[in-house]
Amino acid sequence: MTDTALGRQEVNDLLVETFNSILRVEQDVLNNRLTESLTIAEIHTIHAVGLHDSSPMNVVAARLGVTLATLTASINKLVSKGFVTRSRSQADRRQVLVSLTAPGRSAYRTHELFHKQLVDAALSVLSPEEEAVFARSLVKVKEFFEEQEKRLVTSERIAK
Amino acid sequence: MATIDIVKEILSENLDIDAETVTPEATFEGLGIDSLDMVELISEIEDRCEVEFGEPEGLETIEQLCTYIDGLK
Repeated sequence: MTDTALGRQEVNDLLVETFNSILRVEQDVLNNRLTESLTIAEIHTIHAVGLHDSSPMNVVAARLGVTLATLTASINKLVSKGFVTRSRSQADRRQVLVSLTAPGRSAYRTHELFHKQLVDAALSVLSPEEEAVFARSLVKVKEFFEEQEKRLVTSERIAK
Repeated sequence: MATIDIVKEILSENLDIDAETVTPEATFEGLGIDSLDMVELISEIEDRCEVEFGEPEGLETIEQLCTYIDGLK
C-alpha cells in the first residue's frame, strides 16, 4: 500500500468514525427534559418544519428528502407528542400547513444549541489558520457529497 | 399584563423560580437559569407575548430581556 492510499484509508475511517461519534453524542446530549421523548429523526423533522414557519407538507417532505407518506407518519407522531400543530392554508383550504408549538420551538432551539456548542468545542483545538483550512476543505468535500446526492435522486426518479 | 409579570409567571410556573426574586436587576446567572431554561423561557414568551424571538446577543438581566421583548411588539 502506498503512503497516499494508507492516508486515504485513515481519512475514510476518520470520516465514518466522526460521523458516528457526532450521532452518538447528539443522541446523548438531546436526552434532556426538552427533547427526551424525541428521536434524532424526529428532531430533524422539527428542524425541517422551521422555527417560525407554517410550511406545506410537500415543502417539508422535500427539505427532508422523504415521501409525503413517510412525512405524514412522522408528523402524526409529533402532533400527538405536542411538538407540531396542523392548520389549513387561508389561501388554499385544501393545503395543510404544519408549524411548531412552544415545546416544538424549544426542541428546535435545543438542537441548534447542541450543534453550536458541538462546533465551538470541537474547533477549539484548532488555531484560526487551521480552522480556516478545515472550513475550506469541508466546503469542497460537502460539494462532492451533494453532487452524489443529486445523482442518487435523479437515478431514483429514472427507476420509477 | 406588564412584560416583567409575564416573565415572572413563566419562570415561576415552568422553572419553579420564586417570583419575588425576579427583579429587573436580577441576572439569569443569579437566578440559576441555564441555557436549556432560557430556551424554554423564550418559547413560552413567544406564545404569551405573540412575538418572534430572534437571536439577541448579551442579554444578562431580566430588565434587558423585557426591553428586548417590548421592542419586538
